[in-house]
Amino acid sequence: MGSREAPNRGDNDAATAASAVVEASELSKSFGDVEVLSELSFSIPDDAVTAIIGPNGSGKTTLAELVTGVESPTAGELALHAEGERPVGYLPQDPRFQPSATVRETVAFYAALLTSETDVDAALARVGLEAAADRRTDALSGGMRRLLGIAVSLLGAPDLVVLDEPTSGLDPEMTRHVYDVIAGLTERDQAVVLTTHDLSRAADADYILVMSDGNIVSAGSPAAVLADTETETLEDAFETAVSGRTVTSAGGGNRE
Amino acid sequence: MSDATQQFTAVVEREVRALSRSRSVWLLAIGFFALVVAIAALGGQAGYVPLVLALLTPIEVLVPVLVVALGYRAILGDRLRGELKVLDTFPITPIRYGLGVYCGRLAVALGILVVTLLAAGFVVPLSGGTPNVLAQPGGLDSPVYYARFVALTILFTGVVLAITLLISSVARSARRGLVSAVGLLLVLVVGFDLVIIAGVGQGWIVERGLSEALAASPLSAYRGLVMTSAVEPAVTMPVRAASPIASVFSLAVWTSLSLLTAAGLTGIE
Repeated sequence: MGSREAPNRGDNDAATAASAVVEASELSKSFGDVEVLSELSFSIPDDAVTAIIGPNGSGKTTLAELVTGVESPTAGELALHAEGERPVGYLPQDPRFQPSATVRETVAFYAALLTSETDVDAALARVGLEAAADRRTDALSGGMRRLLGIAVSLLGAPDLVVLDEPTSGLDPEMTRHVYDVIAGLTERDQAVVLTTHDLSRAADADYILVMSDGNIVSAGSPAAVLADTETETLEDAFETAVSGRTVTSAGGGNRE
Repeated sequence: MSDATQQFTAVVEREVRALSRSRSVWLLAIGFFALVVAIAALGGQAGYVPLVLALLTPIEVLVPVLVVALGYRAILGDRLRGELKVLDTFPITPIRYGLGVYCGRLAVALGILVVTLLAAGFVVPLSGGTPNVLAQPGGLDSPVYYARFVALTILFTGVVLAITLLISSVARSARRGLVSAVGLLLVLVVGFDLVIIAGVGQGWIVERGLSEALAASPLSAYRGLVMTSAVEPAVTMPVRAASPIASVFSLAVWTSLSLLTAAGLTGIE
């Protein structure tokens, strides 16, 4: 990667300072000697779906964890403009829960950590898990476990919901269902950040961060990313961006 | 119910539920019960003080085994499943979470322990055995001494569980957690005492500081308290053991420091 600039917030950039739920400046993260994220500067728009895409090992999960606050940056600043009892909800990449607890007990446990009243059955119905409410979590399929994780991530109506590969390993019907749930969140003025390898779904997002090797190589609305990479499809844009031919950045802080 | 109480109760209930639904915990409880009652039946029929003496050494080993088995995966399990990260997004403090885990696991451990020791205590009245040879005349061999032993064993269980949770919060893998827990067991059961014996032998622990030095080890502190409060009053000979005051202080420090460190290492903010 070449020199890095402060975020470019052009007219087509959805993440203006006034409406950003997350603003990061020169954000870096290292684990020991390994630098996973390198001086990222970016914004994430409020009340919108932001997709983080990139190849395996590009730093998507680490970035999601920094945004969530479950990991701390090694350097740089990250401002979260979210409020409430639980500002951020989080779905880990491989959500697992206490195996002997039922689905209902799991949601009830997390709901009990909040002061706000939570209708556990309604929370399960929202993700389509009401029929599995009395099933133990160790008897759930991977997809159902992920839905349970989404139900937990939505408890307390957080302003920002971070979902790490919410549809990985799900069948098409379940994937459609998860994206319906996600679409419903923005209607409730909740911002969503999701990491995904599913570029066709990422194209439906309001804002995209393209990552490669710990850097944001392109950012902006899907149209802005296509223009940025001078391509016609997100697949091509992805290839172009991660192969190092990216030349501009609509919202990301890296430029080559 | 206050927010803090509600959160604490939720964590306690979660831990109790997880353990009570585990088949291996039930097997462990049955094994612990059978072993302790069998030892009591074989060696403790002559009175409550002989029962304490018969049970003391086995309990010094079996309680750490029981507690480590119940507790070593407590925080580690939440870490391995990624639940610590999810918990970090909820407004629960690490102390509240750590205390909830501790009290939940302790409730189960004490349930097993108290039922077992109560059953073992019935060996004395049921045996109708000969009078205790150690007890002084005048009926000094009393169930009160056995009750003190039970109370001190409850305290010891709490200390070992706190240290086990510390190991559970430090471990990053199930294998490392188990190895660390077994290591802890060995250190608790023999390690500290060996160090103190070596210290006396080498001369860096002097004779008049021995009772305080013994109290530094949780096991020696527990043993010392049992000997001074549940055995010494009933026997004619003086008992040499760890200083009671230093022992209580030591156990309190081990418990509080272990729990605070364990909570701090969860990563919950």
